[in-house]
Amino acid sequence: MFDDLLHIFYPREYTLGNGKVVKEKFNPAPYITIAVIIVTVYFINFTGLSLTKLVNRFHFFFEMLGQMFPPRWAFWAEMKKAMWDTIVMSFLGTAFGCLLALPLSFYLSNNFKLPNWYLKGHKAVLSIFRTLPTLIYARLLSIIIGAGTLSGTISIAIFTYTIAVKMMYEQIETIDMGPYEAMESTGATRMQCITCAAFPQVRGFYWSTVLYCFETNVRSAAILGYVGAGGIGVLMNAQLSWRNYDNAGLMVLVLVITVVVIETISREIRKKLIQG
Amino acid sequence: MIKFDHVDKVYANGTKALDDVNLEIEQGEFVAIIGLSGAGKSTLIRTINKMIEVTGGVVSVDGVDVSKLSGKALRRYRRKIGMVFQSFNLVNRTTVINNVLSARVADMGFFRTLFGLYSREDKIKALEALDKVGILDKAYSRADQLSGGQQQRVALARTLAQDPEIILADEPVAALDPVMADVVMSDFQKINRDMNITVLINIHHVDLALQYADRIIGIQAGKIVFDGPTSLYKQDEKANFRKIYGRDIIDDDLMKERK
Amino acid sequence: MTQNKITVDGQYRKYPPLWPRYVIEAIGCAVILYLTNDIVSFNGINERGAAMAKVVLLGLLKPSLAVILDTSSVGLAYMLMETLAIAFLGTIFGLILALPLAFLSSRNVAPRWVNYICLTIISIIRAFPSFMYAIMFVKVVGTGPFAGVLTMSIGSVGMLAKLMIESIEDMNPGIIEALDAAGCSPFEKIRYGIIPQLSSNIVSTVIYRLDINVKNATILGVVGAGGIGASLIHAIGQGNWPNTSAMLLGLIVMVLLLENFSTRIRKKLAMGE
Repeated sequence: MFDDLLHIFYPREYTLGNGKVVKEKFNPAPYITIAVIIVTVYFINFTGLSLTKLVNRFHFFFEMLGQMFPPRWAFWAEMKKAMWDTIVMSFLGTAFGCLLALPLSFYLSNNFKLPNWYLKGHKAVLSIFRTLPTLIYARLLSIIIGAGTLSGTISIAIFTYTIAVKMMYEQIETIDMGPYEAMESTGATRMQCITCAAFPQVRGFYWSTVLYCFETNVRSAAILGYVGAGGIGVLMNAQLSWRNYDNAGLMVLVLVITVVVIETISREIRKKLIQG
Repeated sequence: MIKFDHVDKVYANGTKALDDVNLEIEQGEFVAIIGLSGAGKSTLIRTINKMIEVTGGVVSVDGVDVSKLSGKALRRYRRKIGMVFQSFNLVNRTTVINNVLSARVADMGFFRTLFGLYSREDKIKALEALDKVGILDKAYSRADQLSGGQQQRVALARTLAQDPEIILADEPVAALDPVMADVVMSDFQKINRDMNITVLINIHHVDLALQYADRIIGIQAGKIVFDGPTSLYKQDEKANFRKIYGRDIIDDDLMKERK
Repeated sequence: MTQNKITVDGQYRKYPPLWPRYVIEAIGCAVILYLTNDIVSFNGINERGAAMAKVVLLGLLKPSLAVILDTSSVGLAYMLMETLAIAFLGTIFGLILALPLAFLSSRNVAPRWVNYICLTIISIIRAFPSFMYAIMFVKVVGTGPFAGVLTMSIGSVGMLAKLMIESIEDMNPGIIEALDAAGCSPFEKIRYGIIPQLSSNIVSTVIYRLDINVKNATILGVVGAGGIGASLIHAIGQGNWPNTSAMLLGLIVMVLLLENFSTRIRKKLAMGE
């Protein structure tokens, strides 16, 4: 039994009837598991996690939920403008981001004979911008061009642009270049070849990407108001700090419904797009 | 008239695909280019519309040095040369008619391309081309719903819609079954005869080449080793085959059973 | 032959009209323009904005060395470590929460009605906005990384469970049957039949989520749930560009390294190593 346990850590050797020695394949899983456990324990101490604290105080979670629900329906009149702003911000941010991403993703895919060092450099810059969440852009922009929905829209557009370009050029790099070559041989320009031979192959994927970005943006746009970039976050911050939890409850409810409705519709359309 | 004058092509990796090629092809000829795969057949026809650039010698068409063309002049020149490919190269996700219309795009401006604004004339031309190859009824089917033979005829129609003077075909029947191969080859023949279009076909199946082409060009390791009318080739088939392929004929080289 | 012979002219008339496409495009453009006009108000942002942008960009070019080299609890290293810890623990605890939910939601493991209950729980958890979790957990355990870990854990459940359900439902039942036939105990069935089939998929999913969590961890700081976000947002608000720059730099480097690590491991796993 003890021997069996030890063999978790190093490969067993078997001697076969003909005298050959066979070694099991080395399995790193136990070592990785132990490393993960050590890191977990270390991080638990580092962040000051305490199960007793959580258990003792967890009723506050439900208490707060209780204060939020049922929500105060009358607050709808005050919040509808902010909610609308949030959706508009996500919509416009997605629209501008994806509109810009379309030509650029063709330009950046390695099918179209641009120098390799240039493509690598441009893609690297994009991946740096992609590491920052919308929130950081929103905060920076709210300082530069002032608080409001415009900063929110632009920051969503920047973020959308960086992820949509990546999704698109990866897809474009997998298309069949045969039709493109055929059009090139008829004397069409590069732009004509892309429009008529390359884009039709990724049209469905592109619209699916647009919808996907819209979904994620609606989710993330709610918080932007916290840093002054407009939308429902501004109102949420205020209502929570005044402890108007029933108002916050209504906002959460509306947000949840909006997100679920948009996600459901978008998912259905995307299913059709990918099939068609 | 297409003229090759001491043409060489050496690829960046050192492969010599064309080695001192000299040819003259008159307008309206039906030429089959045969040889092993890798012998330089694809390279040869692609130098005519400068999809591949030569590294030595001159390819000229109607007295124009092809290698000197670039940009707009090259694109204008390419409009009169149609090309058909082994893998059809259709956009699978759009309709047949849109695939054929893509041959008209080269004549259109930026916005008309962007918005898909084909003129009445273009559409009629595309439909007539489909009619010529006998698949007018499939105009609004999606390209990937057609059989291989039908797809190749769409590709042929696309080329016709371009009003070409020359058609270059790179193994157009290699992916087809014998019956469809025959149909497509006779389409090429009809086009060649009725419209006086020069047809250059790379083909692996010797029997099809002999049946349809007026002239055979045999190529081996980038060199022209046979060039003459089909009748000349037929006079000593075995010897000529040996010259081109370096071995005796086997069933693989034939599309159909030999009689 | 039928009477309606197909003619070029007949087919021409069948060419689909383009106006529906143009109408949709025109409406799309009109909506975008209208909404943009609504949002953009050009009151004095032009000149002030340009000047401000110049200040910000110049400031960002000079990252504060003091912050980068500071090893105390307000230094860059500590803040990044805290962010990483939140993301890491959030992923691990998210996995622990998601595993049973995923198994019970899979059609080939539990009965239909159990599937529905668990899938509903997952949907509810997912639909609730994650910053609301952060706000609520700050109420429960106070400000700091603890609240962040709790938020990340709950926030990871939805995606982890969803992806795991897919791989569980894709499992090959033949292997379990074979082990059954060989007379294996339930423990042995899980050890030799299920774990080998799922482990690489689950590990890949978890690493992917860790990647996402590190990126999202910045947001937690805004509501006081720990990580580098709070200091970063504060520095931007104060216009302390050298500090902002240092923190952005640290964040970018950490995310890029992790992203690189994550794609490499996942590629290896996908190739079956």
